[in-house]
Amino acid sequence: MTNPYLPEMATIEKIEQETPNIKTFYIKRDGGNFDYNPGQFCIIGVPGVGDCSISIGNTPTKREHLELTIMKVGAVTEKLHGMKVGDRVTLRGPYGNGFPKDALKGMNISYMAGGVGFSAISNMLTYSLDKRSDYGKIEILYGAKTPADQVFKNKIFEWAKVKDVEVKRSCDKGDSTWKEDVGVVGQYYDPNFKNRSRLLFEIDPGFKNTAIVISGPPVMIKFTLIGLDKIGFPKDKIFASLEARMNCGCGKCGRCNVGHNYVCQDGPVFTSAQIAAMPAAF
Amino acid sequence: MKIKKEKMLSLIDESRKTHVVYAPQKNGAVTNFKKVEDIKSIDLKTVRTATPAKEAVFPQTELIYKVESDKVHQADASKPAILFGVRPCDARGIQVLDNFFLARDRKDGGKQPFEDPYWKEKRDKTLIIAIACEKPLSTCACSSLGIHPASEAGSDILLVPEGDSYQLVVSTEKGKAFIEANKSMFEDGGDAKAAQEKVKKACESMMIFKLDTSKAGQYMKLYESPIWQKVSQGCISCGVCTFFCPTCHCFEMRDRKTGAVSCDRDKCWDSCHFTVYSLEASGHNPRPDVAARYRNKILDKYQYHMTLYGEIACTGCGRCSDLCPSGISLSETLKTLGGAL
Repeated sequence: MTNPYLPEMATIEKIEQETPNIKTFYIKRDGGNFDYNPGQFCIIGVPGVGDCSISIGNTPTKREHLELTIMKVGAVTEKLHGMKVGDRVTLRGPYGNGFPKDALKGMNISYMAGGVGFSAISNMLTYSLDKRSDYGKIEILYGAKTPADQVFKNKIFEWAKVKDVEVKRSCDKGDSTWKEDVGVVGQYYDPNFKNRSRLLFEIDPGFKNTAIVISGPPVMIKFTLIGLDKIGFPKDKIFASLEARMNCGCGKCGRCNVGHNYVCQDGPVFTSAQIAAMPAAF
Repeated sequence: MKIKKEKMLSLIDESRKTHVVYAPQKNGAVTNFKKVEDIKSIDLKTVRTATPAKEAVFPQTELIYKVESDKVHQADASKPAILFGVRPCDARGIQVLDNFFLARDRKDGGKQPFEDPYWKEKRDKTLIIAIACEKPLSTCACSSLGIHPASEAGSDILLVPEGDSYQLVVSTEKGKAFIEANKSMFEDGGDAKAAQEKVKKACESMMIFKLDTSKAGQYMKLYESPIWQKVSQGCISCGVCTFFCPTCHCFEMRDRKTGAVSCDRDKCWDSCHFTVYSLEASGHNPRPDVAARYRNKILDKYQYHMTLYGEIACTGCGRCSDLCPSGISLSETLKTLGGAL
C-alpha cells in the first residue's frame, strides 16, 4: 500500500441483519481483497458522506469477502445501513497490528467479547478454527445486553461444533426465551460463578498455556482486566482490541492517541501489560 | 559565498519559470506565505507570518483524491516549488514534522509503517530558502528550543543578511544543486559562519521571552494532577494555538459531495482542542474537558514527541502565546508545570 489514504471501490455482495441495529456486510474490492493479519481493521466509506474504521471480522484464510459487522451509530454507518446488495462503497486498509497469531500457536485461547465488539476478535477466532490443529482448547465467552442484541446467532453454533470448542453466552438482561446465562461476561472469571470458565479453572488452572483475546465496550474491557488480575492471570497473555475515534487509520491524523501511542497504528491490539502502562486508556 | 539582496530577488523571479514560488506577502494587516505572482509583493520585513510556512508542504486544505464515475482518482502531483523567506522557527518546524510524516525510526521501539505520500511528494520537490531574523518579536523564544534566530536547521539554504548582501549557509544537496545551477548570480567572499554568529547574537540580545524546557519529558508524572485545570484556565478551545503551530500535524479527511455518488476528498487541518476531535460515535469522549485537551497538546509537544523521536515538538515561534484570546502563555504553563515537579 503505497498511499495509505487511497481507497479502492468495492461492492456490497451480501448483507445479514444481526440485531435491530447491527448488520454484517460482505464486501469485495474491485482489485480483489487484500491479505491481512487477524485483528487488523479497514476503513469503509460512502463517497460524499465519509468513512469509518471497522474490524475485519473473518479469517484472512477465507477472504473472498471482507465481513464487516457494523452498528448503526453515526452518519456513515447510518448511510451504510440503508444500502443494498450491489451498492458501491470505498474500502482501504488493512491497518493496525492485529493479534500475534504465530506466538499464540500451541496455546489454549479464551475468546471473550461484548456486544458488537465480537467482530474485533472473530477474525482470530475463525483463523484458529481454520487452523484448528495449530491451537489448543478454545473457549468462546460472549455477552450482549439482551437476547436480541446477540450477534453471530447462527455462526456461533457452527463454531461450537468444532472439536474442543466450548461456547458460553450471557445477556445482561434475559427474557422468557433466554435459557443461557444472565449477567456480564466478567462473571465467567469469577471463581464462585457456577458456570465459570472451564478453561481457566479446570483445564489450565495454572494459566501456563492459555491466552485471552478480548474485545468489547471500554467499560467491559476495563472491568474484565481487573477481574483477570484478581485471579492472577498473567497480563502479558491478555490481548485486547481497543477502539477510538479514527480518521486516517495509519497513525497520522492524530485523534486516536493514548499517550504517545496511536490506537490505529500501535494497536488496536494491546496486551493488558501495555494497557496498564498507558495513561487512562479507558 | 554571498549574493546581493536585489540579485536574490531577481533569481527568485527567474525561478518562477520552473518553480512555484511561495513567499511571505502582505494582505491587509496579515502576512502569509502565498504563491508569488510579482516579486515586488514579497514581504521580508514581517518577522512572523500569521500561518507557519509548513502550509506550503501541508496545506490547510488539500485535495487528495476524487471519486468519480465509480472510480477513485488520486490528485495530480504537485509542481517543483521554492519556499522563500522562511524564518528559522518555521524551517525547524518542517524538520520536526519530517520525523512523523516521513515515518522516521522511533526511539521507543515502536513501528511507524506508513509515510504520508502527500507530505513526502511536496517535501521532495520543495527547496527551502530560509532567512535569519535580525529582530525578535515579544514572544519569540527560538533560542530556548535548540535553534536560534540565524539557525540553518530545516533549510536547504539560509540567507544571513549582511549589509546589501546575504551570506549563504548551504545545508543540503538540494541547496548545493540550486546554487550550482545558478552560480553566475553568486559571488565568493565573506564569512558566512561569522555573519551567522553576529546576527544570532544581536537578535538574541533583544529577546525577552523565555521557555523553560529543562523539564521536558518529565511531565507524564503530572498526568493525573489537577494542575492541568490551573494551566488551562480561560481556554475556550478555539484551536488558535494549534492551527498556527509550526509543529501541529493533526488533520481530518472530509468528503465534499460533487454528485450522487461522487466526491472530492480533502485533508484539512484539525485541532485536538476541538470538542468533537476525539468524540466517538457512542458519545464517549476520552478528552471531554478543556483541561484534558490542553494537557494533550502540551504533552504531545513536550512529552510524547520526545519519547518517540528524542526531541521537543516546539520551535519557540511564539504564535500560541501571542495569539491566544485568553492570554494563556506557554512560558507560564511550562513554569507552573516545572514548579509542580
